[in-house]
Amino acid sequence: MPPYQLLLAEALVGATIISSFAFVLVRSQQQKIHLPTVQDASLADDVDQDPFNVTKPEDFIDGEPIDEDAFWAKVSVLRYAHHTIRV
Amino acid sequence: MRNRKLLLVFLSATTLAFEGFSLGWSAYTDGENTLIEHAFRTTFALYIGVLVVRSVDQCTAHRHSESVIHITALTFFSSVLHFAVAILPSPDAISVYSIQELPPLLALWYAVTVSYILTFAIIATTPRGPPLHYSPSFIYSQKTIDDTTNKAYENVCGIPGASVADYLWFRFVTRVVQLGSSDSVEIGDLPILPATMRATYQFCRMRMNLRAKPLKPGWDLAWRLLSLNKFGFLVEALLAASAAPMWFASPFFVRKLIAYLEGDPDRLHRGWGWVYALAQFASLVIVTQRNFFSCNAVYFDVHVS
Repeated sequence: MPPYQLLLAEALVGATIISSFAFVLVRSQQQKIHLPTVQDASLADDVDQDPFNVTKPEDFIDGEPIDEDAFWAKVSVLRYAHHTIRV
Repeated sequence: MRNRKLLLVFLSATTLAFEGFSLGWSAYTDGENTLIEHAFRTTFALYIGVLVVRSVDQCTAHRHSESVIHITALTFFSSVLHFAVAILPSPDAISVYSIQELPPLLALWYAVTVSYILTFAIIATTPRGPPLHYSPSFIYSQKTIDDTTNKAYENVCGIPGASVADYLWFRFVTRVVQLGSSDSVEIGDLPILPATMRATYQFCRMRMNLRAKPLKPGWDLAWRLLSLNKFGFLVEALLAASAAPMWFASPFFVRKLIAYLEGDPDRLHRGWGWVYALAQFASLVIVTQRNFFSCNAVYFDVHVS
């Protein structure tokens, strides 16, 4: 067997821990987003008044996915593969 | 994509099976000496397997890309470590493989190494999302749209859907570079930026932030820039710290390689020769790939709000 097996194994477990920690961290960050429950009156007024406010809702999307269903359908076929392997 | 992910599930299942077999074998024959390392390795293989199987059901670009990035990073780390350990000569020079080592375990170890490298090669080239179309009428006037010579439907810059390898090697700028060879370049020919890079998006976010927390000039501004970009600064510092020694690593390994070539004219112990040659190659690659930093430059621009 090549040398330094224990060190290698420890490094791999370390990577596992860091990765799972990153998952937990990202999840906890996401939960902090709350939808507003009260209408901020000043915001609604400013839409008409501020001449610099040129931001439209369309500016917040990257774009429409092309053939999204086809793209993910290829992936979803995997469920069958996954089940066959599990069986 | 389908064959790609099928292969990934198959590879990770194979790896896990190999590791499980090694674990069982070592528990049965050897006792506690190698049991812990096999348990650790099985944990890692199991984690990769869970991530791959979990990614199968993910049908949104956000979740899918998160899984892809994690699996890529983990398998890259594992492949590099396995490869380095595989070429490192054994410190006890008497025999490379002592008698206690059993041939099946060794074969399994190399099989696992190969399967990690294959997994990495597949997942690093997997696209992170579908190609995108953004209607030009949202941002351009009718005249600009009419002048456009490039009528491709896929008109958004490839960053959101680029695979990890494409992202790191800037494959998504190919389309802009190709424009240079065309006859005429109009504004509408350029790929459309993703949302987070658009000026209107940045302006809106900055405005909202300033409304929520009005800015005091002076130290407050400096502090907020620092605290908003702390992750970027940290990554930048880490990358710089890890890339800096590589300037000296390349000449160092060349010297070592020449020393080896002179010291072992019969090429009896080629192990170290290979190690020095490959280390020299790796340090050269890292030094020339300093454009990783410009990834971070994009990140900084986007997070100043």
